[in-house]
Amino acid sequence: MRYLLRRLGFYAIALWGAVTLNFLLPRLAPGSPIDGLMARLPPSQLAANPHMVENLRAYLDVQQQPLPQAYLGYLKQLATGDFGVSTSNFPAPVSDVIGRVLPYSIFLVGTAFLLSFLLGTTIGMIAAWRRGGIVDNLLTPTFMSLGAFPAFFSSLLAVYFLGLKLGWFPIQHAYDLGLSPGFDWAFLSSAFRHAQLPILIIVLVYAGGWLLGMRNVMINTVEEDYVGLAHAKGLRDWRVMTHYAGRNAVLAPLTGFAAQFGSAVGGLIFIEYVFSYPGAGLTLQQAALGSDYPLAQTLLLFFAVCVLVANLVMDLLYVVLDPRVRTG
Amino acid sequence: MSNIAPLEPVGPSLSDEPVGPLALPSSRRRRGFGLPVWARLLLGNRKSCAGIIVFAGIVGAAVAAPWLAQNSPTDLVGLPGQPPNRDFWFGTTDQGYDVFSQVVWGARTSLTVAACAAIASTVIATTLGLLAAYSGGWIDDVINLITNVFLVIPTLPLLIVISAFVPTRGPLIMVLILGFTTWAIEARILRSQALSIVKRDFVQAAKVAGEGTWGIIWREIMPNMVSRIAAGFVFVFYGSIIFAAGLEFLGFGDVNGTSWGVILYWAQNNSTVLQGAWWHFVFPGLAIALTVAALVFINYGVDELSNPRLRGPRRKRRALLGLVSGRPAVRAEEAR
Amino acid sequence: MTDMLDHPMREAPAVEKESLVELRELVVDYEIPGRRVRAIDHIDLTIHAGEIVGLAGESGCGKTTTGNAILQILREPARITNGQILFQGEDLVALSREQLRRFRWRNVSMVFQSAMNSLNPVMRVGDQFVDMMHAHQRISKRHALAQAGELLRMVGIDPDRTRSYPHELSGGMRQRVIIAMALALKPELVIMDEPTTALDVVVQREILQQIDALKRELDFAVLFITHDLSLLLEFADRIAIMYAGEIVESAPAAELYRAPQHPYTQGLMGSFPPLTGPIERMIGIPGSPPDLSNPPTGCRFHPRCPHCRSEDAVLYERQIADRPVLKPVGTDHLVACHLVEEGL
Repeated sequence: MRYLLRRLGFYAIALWGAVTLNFLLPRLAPGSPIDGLMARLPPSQLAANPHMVENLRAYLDVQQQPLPQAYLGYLKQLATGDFGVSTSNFPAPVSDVIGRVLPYSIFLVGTAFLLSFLLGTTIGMIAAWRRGGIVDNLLTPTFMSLGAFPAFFSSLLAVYFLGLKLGWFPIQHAYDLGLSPGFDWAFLSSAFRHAQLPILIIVLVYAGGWLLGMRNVMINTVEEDYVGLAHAKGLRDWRVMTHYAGRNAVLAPLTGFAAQFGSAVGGLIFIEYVFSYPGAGLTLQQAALGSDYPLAQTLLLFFAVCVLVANLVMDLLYVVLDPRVRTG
Repeated sequence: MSNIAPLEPVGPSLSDEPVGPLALPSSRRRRGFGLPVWARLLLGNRKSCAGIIVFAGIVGAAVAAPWLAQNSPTDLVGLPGQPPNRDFWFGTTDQGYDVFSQVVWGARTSLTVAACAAIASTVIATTLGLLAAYSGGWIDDVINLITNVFLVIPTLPLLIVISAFVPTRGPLIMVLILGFTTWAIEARILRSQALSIVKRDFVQAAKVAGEGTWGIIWREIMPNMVSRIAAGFVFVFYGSIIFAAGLEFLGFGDVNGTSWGVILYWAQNNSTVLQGAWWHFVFPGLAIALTVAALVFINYGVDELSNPRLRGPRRKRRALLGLVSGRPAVRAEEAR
Repeated sequence: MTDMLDHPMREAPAVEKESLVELRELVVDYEIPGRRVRAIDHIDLTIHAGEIVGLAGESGCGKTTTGNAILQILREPARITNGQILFQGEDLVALSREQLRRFRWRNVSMVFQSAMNSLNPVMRVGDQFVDMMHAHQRISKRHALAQAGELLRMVGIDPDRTRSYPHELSGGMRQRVIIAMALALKPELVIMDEPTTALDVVVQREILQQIDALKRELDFAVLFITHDLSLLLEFADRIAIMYAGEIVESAPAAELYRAPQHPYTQGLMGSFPPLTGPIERMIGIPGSPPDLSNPPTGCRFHPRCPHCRSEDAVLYERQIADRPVLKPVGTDHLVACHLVEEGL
């Protein structure tokens, strides 16, 4: 319990740090971002929304208020959920935009990352259990090479071969054009179909890392006395592999889960871009290109929060899985 | 022959002392075959040797660009959309640019940017990591806090947002941006390594003798961590290649420049992928993947430098060294 | 040496019991690429029902490998390359995987050297009992847990401890849990590999008394593997001395104490000081155990044997060339030594 509280404290501080960095970014930027932004906006939009300039000024607030005051104001804004107004989607508030795109990303990365973890660790467990067997000799190098290519390259390859050439998967967007989001079967099944290839790529690219991590720990775990004893007790082979060796071996790569998550967020952005999948990643890229600072910065914060949440979930999971951490 | 023997661990039973960064002996003292110790170890390891060869090939191609790729990467030299053929080894883009030229000339930019970014990142990481380890106290706490913040914020989104705030695009900006965001992981690792060195007597002795903080860091601590710093440098190097290419791919690079990521950007932007022109993205992508793989393999060798336990059997290594240096490396009594 | 121990020893049981486990010409090799290390070299050993057989020797002599071989849990690269392991007449080497699985623990169980690491750290103690029972019999979980509790009580641990995790128990308690687990299915033979080495002497004594009491209640045979010969002299019915992968002497405990024949055994006997009596000079055994990838020719003990001298040319030739074979000297007493053969 104390362990969890310590972790929580750590995350709170990291979050504060991320928020502060976010606050400082526009103020550290060379030149005046507002001018750069103004230069990009079409005059018609400016004319139609005279308040936008003031909004932006207030948001970016570069030379106006003294720093401490601006900082407190910023914190207060965040606390109340006021993230400003998105310039590329004017006048939609940032929170609306994020609310629209975040679910798709969470669905994508959540499913895919979880699957890659399960797949990778399972194969790694089996590969280490029967070293030199079919699984080890075939699947280990396969996944290692799959993971060796940068994520964006793999997604391009996948789009080309699996989407275009073989036509097995739809390769653009999150759902068929003409449908609108809702909890009906048509939409959900279409969304599911469109998510298949992106999920597949994420799974294949990241499973290799889990595989190797699990396999390396498992090779040592297999030598442990309690595995030998379980074997001597006449337990069935697969049970020893999973409940005795696997259960213990998985703890080590699990601690790396959270760190990998940050990398997965990066991969997500590439994949959404290549597939034109309307998630938070694609939105971030477009917002940044279009100098929509409020949206871009808030998305950055959200990504950081996601990483923190993933970390926290992993810590919780670790406490559940390893009873030794629970006492003191 | 006594040049080789003292360097390698004697027999399979290594001492139980924790093997740290001190494993690399001073290259000034021991020289054999004219090559310093680290070079021999790197070449001796099969994996890192392969990596060095491939990487050297890529660098060589980049350097030899004017002779290797006769066409200018920015000239429209051929019919657009050609698959690889005799005139254009990697084909042409949908506009008519020579993909091969672009890849070869682009190697210069990509490699240089990544190398400079890695240098910057390593300098920052080393400085902060060692400073934190040596100073302790509030300095350590502050540096730790900053490091944690940068570790928690996912790198690519941070890079994207910073790019958004910086209006100019170009190699220099890329170097600066990458250097200032990728140092955190190495800083953390170097700090924990340095902590074990700081406790050692010779550091305490230097402190008592009156050496200043930076003097100790640069003269006492850092020389003992060279191989770990080197490994970190290689790591950030190939990380920077990927990040730089990734940023360019997303449109945050100099889209009028020539580098691997930018080629990919145009491939995606002009939907050449969807039109079936696989050569437009496969070749630059392979260049990136190959370079990264070569560097990863080189790191296997660098890892061995800092941890002798990982070093492989002596015979194989000596045989390869023999190849490199031209002298017979396997002694008679060993050839059982 | 006469009043070395402070209480009387076991007398060998008078009744002739049937043989439970018989090792015949057993050979175990470790196959590493390029080398072959013979850990066990043609040994013969017999364990009778209800008997406590001690297996003593220095580290690396092959005694743990013997225990593992009986249970067929040798790890790669160790392999049984020759011989038979007969359990009640049936050859274990020839059993199928499934038959072996069912055989393990039911008929022969084992107490490992370090109980600290023998329990799965992420499973509750009770669940580990249940696991084992489920592997061998159809039994409900509740029933199995109840039985586990009873077993714990039998070794002097509170039955509620089935809900504990291994790290919540002390070292001595964990060792007793392992022993309870070994007896759960009431096997005919329990192999104990240095069960008390990692414990302090007081707990050691307790554990041994516990095993003794349990044995009287459940009547199982024990193969007690240890380097501590003094322990065996008190505790075992018969003792076999192992050296460099061979059994060099085997006799009832009392007989071995009275008249050790093999120079190695004599050396071992002279290596531990008496608890009471005058302080005598200890004679150890010079040298160290041989490298099994390249063992000495002939009698493996000859480099360290005080009776092996090149002056006795003929004898010396035999000592360095011929392997001595176990031959009987007196009732139930086997020795493998050229000197004994010659009557020296």
